[in-house]
Amino acid sequence: MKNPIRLALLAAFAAQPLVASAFTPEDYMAWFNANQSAQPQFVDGDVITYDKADLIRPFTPAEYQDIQIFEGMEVKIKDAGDISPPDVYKKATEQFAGTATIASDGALENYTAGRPFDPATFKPGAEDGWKMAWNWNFRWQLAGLSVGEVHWVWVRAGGEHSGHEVMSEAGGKYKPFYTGGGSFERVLTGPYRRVMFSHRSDLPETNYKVNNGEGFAKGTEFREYTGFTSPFDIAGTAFLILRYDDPRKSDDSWAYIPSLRRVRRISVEVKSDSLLGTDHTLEDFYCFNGRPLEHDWEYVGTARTLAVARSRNANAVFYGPNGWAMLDDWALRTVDVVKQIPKRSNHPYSLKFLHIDRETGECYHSNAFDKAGKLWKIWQLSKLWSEDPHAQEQVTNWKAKVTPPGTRFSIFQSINVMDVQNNRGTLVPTRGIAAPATDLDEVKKLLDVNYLTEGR
Amino acid sequence: MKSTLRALSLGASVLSAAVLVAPSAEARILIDALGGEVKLEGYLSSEARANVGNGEAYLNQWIQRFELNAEVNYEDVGIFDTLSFVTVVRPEFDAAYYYGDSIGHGTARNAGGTSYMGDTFTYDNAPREFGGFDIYQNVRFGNANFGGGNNNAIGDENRATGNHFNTVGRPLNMTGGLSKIVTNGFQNPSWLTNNFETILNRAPGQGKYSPTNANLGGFSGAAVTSQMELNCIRCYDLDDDPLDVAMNNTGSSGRLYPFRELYADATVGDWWFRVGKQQIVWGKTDFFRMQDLVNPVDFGQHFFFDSFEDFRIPQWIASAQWKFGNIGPTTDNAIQFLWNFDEFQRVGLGNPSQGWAHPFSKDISVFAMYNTFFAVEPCVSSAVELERSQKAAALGLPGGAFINDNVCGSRGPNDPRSPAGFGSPAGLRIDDRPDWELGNTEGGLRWEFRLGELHIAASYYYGWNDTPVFQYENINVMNTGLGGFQPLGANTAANLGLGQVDCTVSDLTGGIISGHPFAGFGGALDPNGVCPQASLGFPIQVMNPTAAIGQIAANGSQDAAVDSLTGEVSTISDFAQRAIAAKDATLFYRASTNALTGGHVKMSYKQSHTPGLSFDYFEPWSGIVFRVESSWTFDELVNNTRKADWVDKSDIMKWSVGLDRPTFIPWLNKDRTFFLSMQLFDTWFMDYEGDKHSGYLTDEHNFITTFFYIGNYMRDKLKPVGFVVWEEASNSFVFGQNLEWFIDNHWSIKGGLHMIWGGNENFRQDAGPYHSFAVPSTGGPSGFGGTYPFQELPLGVARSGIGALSNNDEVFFQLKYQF
Repeated sequence: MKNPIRLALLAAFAAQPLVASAFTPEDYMAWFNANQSAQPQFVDGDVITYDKADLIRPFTPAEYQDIQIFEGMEVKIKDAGDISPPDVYKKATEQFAGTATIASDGALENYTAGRPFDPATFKPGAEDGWKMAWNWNFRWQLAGLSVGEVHWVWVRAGGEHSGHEVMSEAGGKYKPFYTGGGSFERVLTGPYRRVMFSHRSDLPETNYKVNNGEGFAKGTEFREYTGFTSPFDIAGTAFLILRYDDPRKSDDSWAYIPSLRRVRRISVEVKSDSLLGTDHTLEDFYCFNGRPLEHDWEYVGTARTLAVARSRNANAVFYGPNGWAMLDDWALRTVDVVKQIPKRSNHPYSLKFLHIDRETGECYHSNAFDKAGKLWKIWQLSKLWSEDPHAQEQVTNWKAKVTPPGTRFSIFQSINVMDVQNNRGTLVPTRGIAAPATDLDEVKKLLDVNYLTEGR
Repeated sequence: MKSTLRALSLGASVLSAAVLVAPSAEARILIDALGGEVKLEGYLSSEARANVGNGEAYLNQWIQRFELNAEVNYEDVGIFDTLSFVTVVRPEFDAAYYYGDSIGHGTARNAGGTSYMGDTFTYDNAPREFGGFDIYQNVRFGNANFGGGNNNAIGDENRATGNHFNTVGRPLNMTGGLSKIVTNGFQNPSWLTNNFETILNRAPGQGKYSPTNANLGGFSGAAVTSQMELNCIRCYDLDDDPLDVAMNNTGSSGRLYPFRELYADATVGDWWFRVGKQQIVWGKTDFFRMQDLVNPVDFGQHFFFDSFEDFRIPQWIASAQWKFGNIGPTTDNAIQFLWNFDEFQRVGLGNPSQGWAHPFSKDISVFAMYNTFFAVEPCVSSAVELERSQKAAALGLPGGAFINDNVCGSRGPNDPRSPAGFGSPAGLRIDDRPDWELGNTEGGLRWEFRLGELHIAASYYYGWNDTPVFQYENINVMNTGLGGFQPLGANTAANLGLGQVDCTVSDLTGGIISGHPFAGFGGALDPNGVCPQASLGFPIQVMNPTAAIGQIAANGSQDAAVDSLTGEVSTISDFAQRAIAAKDATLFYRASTNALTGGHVKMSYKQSHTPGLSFDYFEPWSGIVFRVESSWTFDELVNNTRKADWVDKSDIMKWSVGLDRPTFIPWLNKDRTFFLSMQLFDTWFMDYEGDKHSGYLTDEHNFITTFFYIGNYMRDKLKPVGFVVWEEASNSFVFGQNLEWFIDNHWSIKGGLHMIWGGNENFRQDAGPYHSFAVPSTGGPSGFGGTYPFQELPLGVARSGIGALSNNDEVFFQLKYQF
């Protein structure tokens, strides 16, 4: 009778709000301050199970502990090794060190390529907050991320999902990735592509810009396409965002609406709005995908946290009582923590904390608080190392584009958000992922506004 | 409403059963086949719509629909970088329409139901269509006192008994009017109520479709409610099989079977080609079409309440787009060339028997019915002809012998004559659509680009105007021997050379069977023997409208005529001269009660050049996206009732300004914005002429304001959508609200309501040559009791704009399974 009782207790636990009482930014800072200099009591290769969970609490953000720690957990400790960016990025960082500056409004000026600022010199406060934000913005991405298939899985705490169609689709090929509990409400599918056009460390010969900054690349930091192919009611919907190189210039955004068969210019207010009902906004992708100048920034300090920085799986594998914990290797990483404070009074968040890897510049964890100052959402991201052999499965099994050898890119594997106030989340595993080289002709076709009308 | 609830539960059962027995479907089916990757997706839906705005609730439409989108994609095929073949098939079936006699309102299959515009067809509310010239001998509709004092008694008795026949139970005329088909024994009385309804006889201040207004007289119309085949050359929707109508396979909807869309897509470098049956969508405005004029639309299925994608009519088009990047200060340049090589398709107005048929569809039905039943020569049954001949012989009148040729069918199996006929041109003769030939195909181009903050599209299109005009081919000018009916002057013999000779027959039997007040006057009316032997008829000359007014003005007839608007009395020739001098044919037509007996009309079209320009702009401080769109059509055909034939040309500018803003309203939804959108739209007739009741059918400017919102709850699984539309010129409104729940990836349900009101302030227009068809009033100027010149029929519905569809308020419910 033990197991049924245990399951019942787990179910009751799962049905409760993930954080029993209101979790505030002060609570987060209390964990941060208490554990900034904590030393790990585990070693490489250890598998942390429920009875040893206390070992990882200092290195797991307080708000994420209820998700990471549960009976049946398996957190394997594995050092990520050298996952630093390639030499071209390091070279550009070195070459242009000290040239970038922050204007009075927070805009980045005199920046060319590489990491703009050295985080080792940062001190808590707004000034270095801006520097951290721009370091994040111009982390190493080569030409940008390409995803053949994004799944947006709407999960609700409790229950199970064995009967959901995604478990049997295509002969059950997704089943191994969605283990554990949690009920699935809806699954959206679609491709994604981002292309960076400027500040490209890999293009010194063309002034660090695609096509020397002429033509399609002119004045552009990046273009980003997010599409949806199913279910039928949203099939064909696509968003195109154009981020200008001028940090003070607002994005331009368009959406293709299938029922209108027309491209519609959309307001950038949409970026801070839920994306098609998921718990993400367009601004939340990657941890933060918005314009730095639309927010205020404060550098908080460094922490050491566990993260899936170098996944042992080609694709994200979920488990746990609610199906949103990650079954993978967890590396202890040094992260810079920065606080993001939206400037707009009608922004749904009051603030976010972002954990940004000191070495790679990638983000593995963030959280957001609502206007009342209560914890609302938690993001956990996983990365696949481009140089690992199993990364090739993206090409062989998922028809990904080819990531050139030596790219040394922490490829975006998944971003998973948990809405703790509503006991639900959205898993966003990606498949067919790559950081391909720029084929300008191909990119022009995909990321041209006029391409959207070709959609069906 | 019981039938509605039964229909809904039946629909849910059928749909559920279909899904249960169907193989389990994934969200999108991908198969490796045909050498490529085949994608299949689509949906099954059942939607019931109940009319609740007409005083009673009934199931108006219950549409079962299946849509399959299939495409197969290839890469690197020959010169093509990508090559795709796409098709959309969408069969549907309106069960409420097809089985209307048991579950719907019965506007099909002779079930006798009336539409939102109609009343049951009776002598009271459509006396001319029902009883032809009976109204002129029946004082019930006039204060004339013809042929003796007992007509007042006849009228009194008829009002008391509800019987429009005379004291011996016979109609006053044995031919003319649909009821004569019954009185001659060829149909039962139920045939009238099962196949026709009376529409468009609204009295001011009395709401919709009331019986003849006693003070102002009404121009009633009888529209066909069933699928009776009507005689109108090339007219859409007048000969559809009930099953075709139920399946939305009508002329109005376009040829949607077997493929709704079928095209090939290909890319070669910066070129994108699409050839096949497709929709081309230009422009940036919701609800209105300025640049979006490549494909016609079908407003007859559900007005504009469905997505444009659902009622835009796909056509065979070849399109090529070249993306050429940056030029000078412009970026994201693309130019699209297209050639619409399909046969011309006009705007769809619906089969007249359908639940949401547009009022102009009813107009077409009315006037096609006129051409079918009233334009043909009259005839009678054998028994009636025998009775006539015996009475004529007894009275010693000419034509006493049995005239076999008077008998219906005596001219063979294809004898087109009918007891309803008047024997002179009347109604809609032809929908004069352009035939398919190379010179009638359409083409255009669009250049899109970004310039600074603006995203701009300039377009040009040369093609046929989708919306036809009603044009008079000829009018019937009286040429009788009786003073008062001699607009061309008293020399009837000389007038025979003016236009085509014909006769408007009041009664083929000469009026002698019922003791008609005019019995025996046939010879006086027809001194030249133009009309059928022994008949009572009005000789006419069938003339071009402009020529007719000119001739009447020149011939100097002294016939008294009354301007039915002002009451002024003068001669008919004087009114004709005034019309010519003022270049305003209404000055003649509203005095033409005794001068004309209608005429033939046709639906006319013209090709026009239409350049357009649009742009959108995002304003970051306010977060608003501004959309501006405009088009200018040169020399578009328009209806102008001040012209003799009702047709004119005008440059038309259309423009709109739209504002979009996703807006957080935290107290309503802290998680998600509301999408708010507002638009102002105007149609500006640059060559406008007219006033509130004559000339063009709308005001010089027709402003329409729209507002709509989209909300999202429960992670976008619950979507409320609402909109309001206000049309300023007609002061009419539309309100819509629906709520859709996406239960999971497959199932969704949606329910809501649409309401239309207003348009009562002005719904009248000059009736032109049909002025004489208006039912005489009891008051007003003299003559046949006077007839008010401005009527709802035939073109007054344009004045009430959107409000013409009021009383079709509905609630609806949809169940959908998508895969």
